[in-house]
Amino acid sequence: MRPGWRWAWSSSGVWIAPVAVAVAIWYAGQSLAYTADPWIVAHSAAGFAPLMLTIPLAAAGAAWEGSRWRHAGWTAIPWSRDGLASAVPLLAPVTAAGVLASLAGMAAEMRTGTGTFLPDVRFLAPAVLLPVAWTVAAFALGTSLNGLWAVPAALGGAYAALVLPITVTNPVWLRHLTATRMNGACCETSADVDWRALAAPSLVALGLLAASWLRLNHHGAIPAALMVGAAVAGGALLAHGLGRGAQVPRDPSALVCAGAAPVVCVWPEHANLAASASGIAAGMTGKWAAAGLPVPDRFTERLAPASPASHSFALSRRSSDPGIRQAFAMAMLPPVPPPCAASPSRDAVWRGADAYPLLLAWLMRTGGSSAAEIAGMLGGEGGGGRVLAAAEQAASRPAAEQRVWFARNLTALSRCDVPAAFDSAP
Amino acid sequence: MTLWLRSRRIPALAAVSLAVIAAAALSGARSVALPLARLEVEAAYLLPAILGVAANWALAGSGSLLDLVASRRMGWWDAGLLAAVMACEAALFALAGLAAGNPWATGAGRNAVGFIAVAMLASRVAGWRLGGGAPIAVMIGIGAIGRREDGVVRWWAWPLASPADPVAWAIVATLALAALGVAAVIPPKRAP
Repeated sequence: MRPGWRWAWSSSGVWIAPVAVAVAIWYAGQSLAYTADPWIVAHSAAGFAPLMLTIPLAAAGAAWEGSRWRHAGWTAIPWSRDGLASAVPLLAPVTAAGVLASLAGMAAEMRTGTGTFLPDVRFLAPAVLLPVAWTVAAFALGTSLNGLWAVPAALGGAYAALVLPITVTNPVWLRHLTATRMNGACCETSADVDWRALAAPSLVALGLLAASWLRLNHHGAIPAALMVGAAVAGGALLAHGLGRGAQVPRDPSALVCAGAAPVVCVWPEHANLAASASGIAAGMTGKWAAAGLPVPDRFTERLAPASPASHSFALSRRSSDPGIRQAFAMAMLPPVPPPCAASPSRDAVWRGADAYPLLLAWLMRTGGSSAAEIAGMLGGEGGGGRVLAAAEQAASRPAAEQRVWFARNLTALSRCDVPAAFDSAP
Repeated sequence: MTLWLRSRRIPALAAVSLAVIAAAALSGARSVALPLARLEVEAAYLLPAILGVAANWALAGSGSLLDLVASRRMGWWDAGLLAAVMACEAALFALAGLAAGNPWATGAGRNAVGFIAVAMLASRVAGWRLGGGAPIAVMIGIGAIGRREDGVVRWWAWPLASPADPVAWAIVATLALAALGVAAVIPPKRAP
């Protein structure tokens, strides 16, 4: 057997690679992304999730290789070359297995979610850096510990380090140090990734890499531990302000607009709906204006506080016409619950909660939706029939009475002490 | 006999066992929320995987050159030792559970036997390093896919099953018998 082949086949990376790639592809098929829309950033973020399984596998292999190095006595003899450079022949196959699995998981997620294999380029650096750092760290562990302990310690330790932070709810930002739960933090179609969510795990990985380099060059455990501690502290500083999510508003220049009165702007992922949404919006706003409601000039998927000229709405790629009508009707209502009901004191009871479905049903009915469509939206539970009957009754009143009834229920959406008005009689 | 026992690192294994059992007993009914497990997994069920690793390390002494040239049938001795270790772990977990009032202790004792058996099977078939990783890999793998989407534990997911599940006990008993068999019959690989 040629030396090159002997080198390759003697590495645990050779048999770990297919297992890790298979695990990554399997896990990427579990519908992990924040949104079903083909939003490239959301699916790139979801591509990190398989790392919680593939990195421990690669780390176990790297610890194995490190223990082989130790077993051969290489750690006990003096050498002039850099420790990490000397380790490359043993480390390269298993590190390549970890990187390959990471990229395969990301590509599989992208293929499932967007139809292309290529992720957002900003996600590539941590996708490569994380498996590299963990495998180098596990190799360093293997050179310090008996292989019988190093392999399980790398497997279980990497898994615990990547998984346990994402199960912690307080502080919730701890999860951003691992990147493996980014699919739960990023991103809605209207949002982009917060750079800190990518920088924090990358910084931790760099610290791990630097600590491993120190260990492989015969430096003590204390400098290495300090290096890891400093990197984790730096990552924590970055992640501290993130909370559960890791997203920022998306660049509005990407919006695709259609129609004139009103203008309807959607994200490129919903461009297939732009024409029909524009037609529906024109029909609904015309009817609402005839009923005396002030209507905006623009409906946009950009998340922004409503103004008289522009209201925000949200679609999904699979929205049907009834779903689009519901989205426009919801855009006409203020965000709920009102601040008084969201108070942590729990003293405030929002007495006007029923006003929301009531107004939604009225807006849809007035805007041209059928009674069956509204009944389907409201469902049979929670007094849906009563809400529909009240909305139907209100829609049959003279325009002036409808406006008074609408205004009264609108007040109930912004205050806690005003009950919903089912009866539209003056 | 003394040399044989010393080569099997029994005192160190006993120390690790006591530490793990104490940790499992102290963990009470606390659980760990693993992202893939769909529901939380009792920490006391997962900790015995460390015993599989420790037992693998302790019994790796049978892969020494001294054993390979021994005139006695060391495989049978090791199988007997393995049976004693498994019985002691199960009994100690049961006692610790009684003392600490930990309702999961019986299941943890069952899992200790199972993880030790997995380690022994893997080490005799694939070598000692894989033997050490096997209990952790089984724990992670079954933790990941051992529950259905509705949270019900799958019939084969013995580390997650309740202490009263007869199928889990049957699987662990089968694993233990298989481990004793391979310990007696298959010669150990060279220890690293």
